[in-house]
Amino acid sequence: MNPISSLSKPQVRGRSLTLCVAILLTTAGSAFAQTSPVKPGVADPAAFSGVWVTTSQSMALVPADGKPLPFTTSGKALYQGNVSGLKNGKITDDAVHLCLPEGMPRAMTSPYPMQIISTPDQFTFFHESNRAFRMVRLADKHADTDVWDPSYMGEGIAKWQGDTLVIDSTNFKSDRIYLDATGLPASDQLHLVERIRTLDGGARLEDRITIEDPAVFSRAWTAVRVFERRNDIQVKTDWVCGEKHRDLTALKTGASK
Amino acid sequence: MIALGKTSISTKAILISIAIATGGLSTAATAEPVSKSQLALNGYWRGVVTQRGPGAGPPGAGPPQGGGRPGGPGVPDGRGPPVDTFSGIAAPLLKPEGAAFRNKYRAAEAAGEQQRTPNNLCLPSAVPGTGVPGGPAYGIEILLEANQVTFLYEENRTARFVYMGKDHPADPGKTWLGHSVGHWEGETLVIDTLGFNDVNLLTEGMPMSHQMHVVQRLRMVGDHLEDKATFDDPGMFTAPFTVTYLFERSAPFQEYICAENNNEGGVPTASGQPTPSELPRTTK
Repeated sequence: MNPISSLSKPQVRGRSLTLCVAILLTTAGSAFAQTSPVKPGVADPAAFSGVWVTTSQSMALVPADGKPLPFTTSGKALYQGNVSGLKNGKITDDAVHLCLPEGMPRAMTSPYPMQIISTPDQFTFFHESNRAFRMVRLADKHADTDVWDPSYMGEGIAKWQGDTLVIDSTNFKSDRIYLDATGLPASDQLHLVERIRTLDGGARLEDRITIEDPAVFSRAWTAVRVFERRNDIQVKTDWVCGEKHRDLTALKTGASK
Repeated sequence: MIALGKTSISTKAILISIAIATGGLSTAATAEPVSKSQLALNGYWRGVVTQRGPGAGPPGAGPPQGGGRPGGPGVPDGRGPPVDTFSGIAAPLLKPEGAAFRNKYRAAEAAGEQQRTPNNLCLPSAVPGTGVPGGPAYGIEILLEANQVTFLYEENRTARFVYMGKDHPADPGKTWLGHSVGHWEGETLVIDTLGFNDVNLLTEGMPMSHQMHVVQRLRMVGDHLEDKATFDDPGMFTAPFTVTYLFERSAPFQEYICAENNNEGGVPTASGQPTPSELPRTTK
């Protein structure tokens, strides 16, 4: 394990390097990451930092267990209304047509890149699409809803469980968002629990999103989104609706820019 | 790493390792150490009124700054400072074409007309951008990583990335926010930005051109964050000028979505967002 030797190979990734960094961080007490002594399955905030692109071809959120979406009766009616309304134009997808944020969890289904920024007490998710971002604090308690307004991205707080970052989000502007691009509805009871970890030595990132909303679904269900690390591209910060955006075909083939 | 067995490992070596592991930074050796006092820049900030730039208009001149946006800060109670003190930027330095644009803007503003500016159309602000001291009470957040410094802006929900230890590309293009690179000089974060488009404004009513080059020097001064910004835009100004902004720590800012209020004179735009070609040009 010799990081110096890998200076000439900047693209090198892997568990050994991650471990090495964790050791160094621990030794030096760097403010970038407070890690425990290195053990498999231990939190490594720096491993999340960087540019990620979805590996999914679909923007739809689907249950990872392969079962049908567990709608309540009213939830199903709402969804069917959204699907037909979006299709016949009676409903406008504001995120697309009015440049409003896609909100969560839809932001995690975007085909455009996202960047995770890791600072000592916060993870920041920046989405190229519509330059949406959310700050997730490492905290035990949600903000007081008397002073913290509902938001598209929700109010997320995070804690570590081993090497997994668990984000709990509530207080959504639910009347303004769909859960995904197909029009999955949300109510003010929407509650998300995300379990995020790296896979393949940091080459991929997995977000297991558990969606709970008793007004729409009869039980909580989980969708899994996987991202691949893309050191070859930079996330653009000045997305403007109506302007030309990144060529997604180029993104998929691995071309930069 | 040879130093692994020793108790004191250089911070620089550590950060180089982080850069490799997290970003695949090709110029990892340029990642600078980030000391405890440098890390103090991390966090939420809000501008405070300190000083005005040379040549700025007299205090109290002009109507309150509010960007013309319904509900915008400064509008309801009129407490917002005048545009000139908001920016601290010396209007007399403007070249004739810039002065003409500005005079037209000020005249329309005085007449109470809705201004079509990038900012009140929810487009990204340039540097120094939103959150400058003396302006609306919008917040910013600074996030320090070894290979990137990120600025998050409450207003218009915009972010700016500063690539640390990098050079500008040969062709930075023309973008709303420009292209920013940075490095540390001791405890001072130095940020160099160029590559702006031709339609953004420096601040409300203050034009700028693609030739704008901004160098910011950010450091802690006591409990405050100082941002000393030098603007050099031979396309719009007769000489470079420097403005010093001061920020104080702030509580986290909430989710301000400009597009919810995206309208012109109270009439929602059809597309929700105008294209740049719909904006008044800042250059001929």
